[in-house]
Amino acid sequence: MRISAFLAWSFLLLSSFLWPLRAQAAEGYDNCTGFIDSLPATIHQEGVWCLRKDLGTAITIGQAIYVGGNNITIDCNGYKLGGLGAGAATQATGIFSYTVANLSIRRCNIRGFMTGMLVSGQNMGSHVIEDNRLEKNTRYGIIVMGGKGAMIRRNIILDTGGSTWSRGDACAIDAGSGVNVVDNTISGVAAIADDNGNASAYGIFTSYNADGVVQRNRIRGLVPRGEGASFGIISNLSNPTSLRDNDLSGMGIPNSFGLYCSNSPAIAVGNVISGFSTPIFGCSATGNTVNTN
Amino acid sequence: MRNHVLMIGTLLFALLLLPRPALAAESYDNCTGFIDSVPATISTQGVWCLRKNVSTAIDAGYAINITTNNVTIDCNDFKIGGLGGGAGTHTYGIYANERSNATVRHCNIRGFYYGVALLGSSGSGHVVEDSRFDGNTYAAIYVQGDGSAIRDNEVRDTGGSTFTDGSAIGILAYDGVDLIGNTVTGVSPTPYNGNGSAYGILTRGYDAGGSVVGNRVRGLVSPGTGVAYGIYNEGASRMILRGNDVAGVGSPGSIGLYCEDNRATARDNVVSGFATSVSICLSDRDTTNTN
Repeated sequence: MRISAFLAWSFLLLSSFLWPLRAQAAEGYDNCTGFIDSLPATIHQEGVWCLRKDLGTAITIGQAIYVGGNNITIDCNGYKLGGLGAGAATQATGIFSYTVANLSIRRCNIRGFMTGMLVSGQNMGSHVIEDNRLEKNTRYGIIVMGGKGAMIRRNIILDTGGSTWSRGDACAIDAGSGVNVVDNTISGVAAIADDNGNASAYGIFTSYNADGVVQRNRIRGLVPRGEGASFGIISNLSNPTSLRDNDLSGMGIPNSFGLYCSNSPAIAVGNVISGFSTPIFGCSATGNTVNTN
Repeated sequence: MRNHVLMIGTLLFALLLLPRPALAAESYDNCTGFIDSVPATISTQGVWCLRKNVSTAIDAGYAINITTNNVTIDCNDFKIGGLGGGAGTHTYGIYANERSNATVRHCNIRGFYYGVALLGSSGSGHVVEDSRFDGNTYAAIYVQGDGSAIRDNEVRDTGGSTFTDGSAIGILAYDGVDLIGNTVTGVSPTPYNGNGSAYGILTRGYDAGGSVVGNRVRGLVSPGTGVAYGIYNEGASRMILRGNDVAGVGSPGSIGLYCEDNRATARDNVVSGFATSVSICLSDRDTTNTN
């Protein structure tokens, strides 16, 4: 009898061992290699570099965080990387890297730089830019160039534009050479006019992006000036990339383009394009929904 | 035999000391502070966490009032309870007015007049995600501000207010908020003169656009001559309704997708069991079932 009871308890204990523990709390710092506690900062060592508080800088040139090594993750844990103090003439970049591989930037709240983040360098792929919020960056939100296999996903990019240093254009996402741009929200792109009174607004600009896709993004609030134009998505020299299932809302104004394919016809399928004077230009289009009401 | 028992016991004890598989690698490390009781006011930026269930029986005001920008409320799946306020409550669960970048996540919010209300035309960039709303009496989620997102929430059994009768709303969004992947089940207003309208999702002020994508809406109850609306878009707009599953109960006058003008676009939605499946929106590739 005693042994039977013991075996029963043993079974229960074993069963409880097999249950996973219930996680009960938010983000952890357990996997942080180190912390970025002040700006400007330079990171060369591989690993996960974390923010644990809001950070700001008023530098007007250079970068708040420079990434100079491969296999580095910047995890802001939702904290702010602020550059608004530099004003509208800033030339600074929030996070910058050049010719590094496998960079990840996640959960950052990046504000007030001329360029929110700039990742460049030929054939330096597998970058992941995800779950960030970029707001009031004055010329570009995100630039990823030369990142074959790179991914820009689930970012929210608000109110890009307003630079007095570089007037005439503003662009939320600029990507090229094999970058996937998926499931981002872009709301509000408006540049200050150049000396001729013109400015163009770009939601997503891709070039030489045959190995990447632009999919399930939401784009709205593109405001050109003067004779400038607004473009939801531009695909330049990117055949046979696909532009798929994106939602684009225009302002119902002249000289506005929903999807614009130049120099080669990218494939456009399943997009909803509403309120653009030219919904689709130059693309190989099928199965899109166009609303010109 | 005794030796065997001791050996098995030792083995079991050793097993218990081994690390067990966890569902997530999370901690309280990045919590700026903790909300251990409500009502509470958050006036410092950062991540404010729950580490236990909290509740209040106040019938007016706010359980949590956010008074600054860049605040995250992470409930870690704990409850913020307001059922004690009763059906006449006009208490808000989590409230912010004219603030930016408020985030609410992993919350279980019950029994308030509004579960979450992040208001104000100058606000933007709010996120309400991965939360559960149950038994809120007028509206579960109310977010205003372009560039905001309401995503992956479960909203159940909204309605029953005796403070505001005649209507109830699962999710209410103003000014270009994206609504993505939410489930709204059960919206049942307290009748006024015997009538009440139920809104699964109600949007307003989407002039420049905004997406309502991949949501599931069902269980809308509209007493008397009230009307059940799956997704109701108020005001002229360029909003886009895509890939939503909206199920009605065949009540008279009910409308699955309603747009106030045809600049709004509906595509790839499945609309079933409404008297009118799609009203006024430009409709393309929607599936409607009126059986």
